[in-house]
Amino acid sequence: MSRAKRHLQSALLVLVAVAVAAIAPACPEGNEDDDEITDYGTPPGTPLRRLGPAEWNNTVRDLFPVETLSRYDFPAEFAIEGFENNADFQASSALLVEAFREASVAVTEQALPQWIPQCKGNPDGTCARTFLLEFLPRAFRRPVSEEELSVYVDFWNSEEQQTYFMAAYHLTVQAVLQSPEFLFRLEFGTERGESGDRVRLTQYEIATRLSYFIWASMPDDALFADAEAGRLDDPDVLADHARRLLADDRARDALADFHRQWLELDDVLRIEVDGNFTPHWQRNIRFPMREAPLRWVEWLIFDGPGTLEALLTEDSAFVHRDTAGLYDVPAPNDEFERMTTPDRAGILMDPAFLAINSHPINPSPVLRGRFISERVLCNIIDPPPAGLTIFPPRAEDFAGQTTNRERYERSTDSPDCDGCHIPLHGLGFPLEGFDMLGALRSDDQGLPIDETGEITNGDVAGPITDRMELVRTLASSDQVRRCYAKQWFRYGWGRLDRYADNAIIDEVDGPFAQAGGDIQELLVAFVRTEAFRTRVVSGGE
Amino acid sequence: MSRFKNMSAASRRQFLAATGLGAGSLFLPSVGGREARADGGDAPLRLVVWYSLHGCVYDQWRMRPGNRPDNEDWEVDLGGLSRNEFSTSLEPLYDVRDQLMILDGLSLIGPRVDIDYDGHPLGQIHSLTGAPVLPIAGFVAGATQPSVDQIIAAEVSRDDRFRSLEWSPGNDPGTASPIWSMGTDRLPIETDPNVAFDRLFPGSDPNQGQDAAAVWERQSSVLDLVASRYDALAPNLSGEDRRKLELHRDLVRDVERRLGSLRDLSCDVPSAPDGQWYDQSWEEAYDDKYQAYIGLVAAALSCDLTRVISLQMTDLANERFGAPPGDVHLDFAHLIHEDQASHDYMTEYVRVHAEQFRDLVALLDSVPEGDGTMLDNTVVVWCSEIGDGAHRFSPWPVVMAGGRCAGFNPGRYIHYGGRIPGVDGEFGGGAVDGESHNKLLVSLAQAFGVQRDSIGLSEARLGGTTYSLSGPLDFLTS
Repeated sequence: MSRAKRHLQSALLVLVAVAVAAIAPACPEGNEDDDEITDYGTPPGTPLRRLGPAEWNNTVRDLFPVETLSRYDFPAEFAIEGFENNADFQASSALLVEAFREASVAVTEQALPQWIPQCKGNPDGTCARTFLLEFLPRAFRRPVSEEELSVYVDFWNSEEQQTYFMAAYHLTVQAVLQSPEFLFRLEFGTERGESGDRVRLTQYEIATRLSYFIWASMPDDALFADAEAGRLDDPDVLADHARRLLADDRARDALADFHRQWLELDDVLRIEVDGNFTPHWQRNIRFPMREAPLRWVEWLIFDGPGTLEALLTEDSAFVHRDTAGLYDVPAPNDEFERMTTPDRAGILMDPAFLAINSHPINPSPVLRGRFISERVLCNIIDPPPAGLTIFPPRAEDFAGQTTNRERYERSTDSPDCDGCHIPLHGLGFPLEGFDMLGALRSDDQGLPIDETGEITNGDVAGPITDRMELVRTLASSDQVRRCYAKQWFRYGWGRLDRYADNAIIDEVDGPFAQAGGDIQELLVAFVRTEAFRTRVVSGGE
Repeated sequence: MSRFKNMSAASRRQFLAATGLGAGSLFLPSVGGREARADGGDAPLRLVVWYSLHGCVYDQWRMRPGNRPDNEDWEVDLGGLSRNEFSTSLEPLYDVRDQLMILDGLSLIGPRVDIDYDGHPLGQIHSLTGAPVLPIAGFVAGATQPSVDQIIAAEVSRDDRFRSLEWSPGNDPGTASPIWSMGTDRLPIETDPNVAFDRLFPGSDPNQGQDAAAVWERQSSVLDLVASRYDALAPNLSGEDRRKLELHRDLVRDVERRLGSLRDLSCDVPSAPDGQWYDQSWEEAYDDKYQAYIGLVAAALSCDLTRVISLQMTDLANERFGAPPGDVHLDFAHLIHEDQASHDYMTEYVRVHAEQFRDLVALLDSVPEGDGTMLDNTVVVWCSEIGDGAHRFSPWPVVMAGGRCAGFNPGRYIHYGGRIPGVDGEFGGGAVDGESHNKLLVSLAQAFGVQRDSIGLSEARLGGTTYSLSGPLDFLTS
C-alpha cells in the first residue's frame, strides 16, 4: 500500500471537531487470543497461487544454470496489508500476461546461448526429448507424464521443421515458461483426509511449498530427491530441509523481501520532507534509506542474533554515506557500513520506518502508533469516521510554543477521539525523539521531548517511559510474537488470516517461543505444521 | 525500453524511429477546415478517461457568467466567454473551449448510500462503476461491477487489438486505479511510457541475432500452445481457481491475436519516447512522462491499437503547483475549506491539471481524421474520485472534450441545478444538490452503443425519497 493510500485509509490524524454524532469507533478490544480455545473452525479454501515478480525471477535464476541472467521488471502487484503475494488479489491482466510473454522471450535470449543442450547435433533426432525429459520436471516442479512430455517434444520438432534447432529450443522453453504448470503453483494433492475438507499434498507440492516459503523460488535437487523418495511427509525431514534452505544464500534475499513488504519500505521512495525543518533532506537519500533496513534485517537474521527480540531492540544499523547525518555518525568510507547506534534500537527506530510514518514537517505519532498497533500487535484500528476533516496539527494553529506531542494531544482531546487516539498516541509518542526523517532530535523546537507513552491493552499493557522501554516491552510480548508469526502466515499462505488460522499460529508459537524467538526457527515451525502439508479444499470463511 | 534490466533496447528504438515518422512525429500536423467536423471518416469512436485526484476547489473551478443561479439548469456557449470569464482553475482550457463540455452540478450519489468509509477508496470505485463497493471485514476490498470504460471496451474493442490501456505518469502503481475489469478485477497500471511503447509497437530488432528474429516470427505458435495448456488444465480445477486459469487463457489468446495483428499493422510507427527518466526521481520525470504518454495516446488511437485508454494522474510534486513541502492529501487537500493557503495551492493543483488536460485535447484536435480531427471521434472525460479534497462528493467536477461523432455537442458549460438534494453536514460539507453521476456513465455507455439504461446503481433512497439514477444525462447531446 502506498504512502498516499495509507494516508487515505489511516486512522491518522487529528479529528477536527465537526458534528460527530453517534460515532463508536471499533477500536482495539483486547487480545484476541485465548489459551482455552483450541477449535477455531475450518479455514478458507487454499487459493491457487501464481508466481509473483520476485518468485518468477528467482525461479528462472535457479532453473537455468547460467552465469549471468538479468531480472525482469514486472508490473507491480497489488499489496494487501503490505504483502504483494496475496492470491485472492492475483487475477491476471493483459498487462501481466504480456509481461510474462516478453519476459520469457528475454530470458531465453539471454540464457539459452549460454546453455546449449549437449545433445545438439546428435543425428538420432532425439535431442528435444532428451533435453525436455530433464528440463520439464524441473520447470513444472514435479515429474511429467509421457503425454505432457510429448506435447512439448512434438511442439519442438514441429517448430524445428519450420525453423531450425536453436529457434525451436527458444520457442519451446518460452512456452514452458508461460505454461500454467510453471506460472501457477498447482496443488491437486493426493487423498482426502478424514475430515474431508483437506487433501494431503503430493511430495512435490510439499517441496514446492517449502522452497517458495523460504527461497521464494523453486526446489533444488535435494528437495526433488526427497520428494521422489517420499520422505517429505515426515516433519523432521521437512525441518531439516528448511534449515538447509535457510543456510543457503537464496534465503537471505527472500527473508529481507518479506520485511520490505511487511514494513512497506518502498513507500520511503515517495516521501517528501520540508528541508526548512531538517538539514538532512535530499530526495536522493530515499534510495539508501530503503536499502539500509533490508541489509540490516538480512544481517540480523543470518549473521547476527537472529531473533524477533533483536529485530526490535538490536542497536546497530547499516549507515550509508548519504544518510550518516540521520544517525549523527561520521560518513562511512564504503557505501554502506554497519555501525553501532547507541541511541536507537531495532526496526521501529529505523529511519525509513520512522519517515514513512511521518508528515513532511512533523513526525506522526498517529501513523507510527497505527503501524505498531496493526502490524506489530495485530490490533486493528478503524479508519476515522467519514465526514471528518483530518489533518496534522500545525504549530501556527496553537497559541504559544507547543511540542508536536502537545498538538496531537490537544487536537484529539475529546471523548469521540479517545477510543482510537489514546492507544495510537500511547504507541507513537515514545518515538517522538525522532523527527520526520527519523533523525534523533534532542528537543522539539526548543521544548523538551516527552517520550512517555502507554500500551493500552494486551499482555504487556502498561505505561512506557521512553522509546527504549517501548521496544523492549514489545519484544517481551507474547502478543507481538504471535503477531509477527501472523505476518509470516499471510506471506507464506498468500492470503489474509482468518479466525480459524489461529490454530496454525498456536502450533508455531510454542516452538518459536522455545527457540527464544529465533526467526529462522519460526519458519521451521511453520514448515512442521500439518497445514503446511495439506490443502483445504472446501473451507469456511 | 525493455523491462529486462541490462538488455539493450536502444538499437530497437533506433530501428523504430528510422522506420517511423521520425522525432516529433507523434505531434502530427494540424489540419485546416475545422468547421467540417461532422464527418469523422471511417475512424472508430474512442474513449479516453483522464483521471485526477482530489476533485476541485469548487469556488475556483465553477463559472457563473452573468451571475447565473445555482438552483437552476442552464448552459452557456463557451465560445462566447472571454478568457477573464473562465475560472481560475479552468482558465488554461480557454484555448480549447470549443471542444469542451464543462459539467457543473453532478454528484456522486452512490457513496452516500454505501458503507461508512473513507471517501477516497469509495470514490475510486463509485466514480467509474457507479456501483457499491465490495466490503470484506469492514474494509473496501474491491468493486462489485466493472467500470464504465470496460463496459464500453467490451462493446467497441477489436478482439485483435488492446481492449484497453491503463497508463500513469506517476510512480505509484496499483494503489488507486479506478479501472475495474468485466470480472471486477482491478486493472494494473503501466507507469513507464517506453514499456508502453514497446507493447504497442512490438517488433524485431534487425540488428539482433538470427535466433531472436526467428523466434519473433513464431510467437503466435508459442502462444497457441500455451493457451491449449490452460485449456487442458482448467477443467481439473473448480471455482475461483478455475476462473483464474480461464481468465489467464483468454488473455493469452488475446495476445496471440494481437501479435498477429500488430505484426501486420499498416500504420506509421512513431518514434519511441526519448525520455531519460530512469535516473530521475518521479517528481522530475512526471512532466516528461506525461507528454510521452499523450503522444502515445494519439499514436495508439490513430493506429486503432485500442479504443479505450485511461490516463491516471497521481499527486503532483509540490513544486509543480507552488506548494511548500507537504502531503498533498493531508496538508492541503483536506484543508481547502479551513485554510486559505491550502485553498490556493489546490486551486493551482487543479489548474496545472487543466494545463495538462488541455495539451491532450489540443493534440488530439491536431490529428486529421476524415473531415475533422481525431478529437471528434474521441470522447475525453476528465473526472476524479471525489468532489473536493475535503471528501465531499458533491459537486463532482467533470470536463468532457470532443466526441462530436459520438453525438455530443461540445463548446458548452452545462449547469445542473436542484436535482437530488444534499444533506447539510453530510461528508463535512453544507447541503449541495446534484444530479446523479450515474447518468453521465449511462450517457457515455450509450454513446458507444451499449444498450443499457443504468450503469451501477439504478436508484438510491435518500432521506426517505427514492431517486432514479437511471437514464442518460440531460443536455449532453442537444
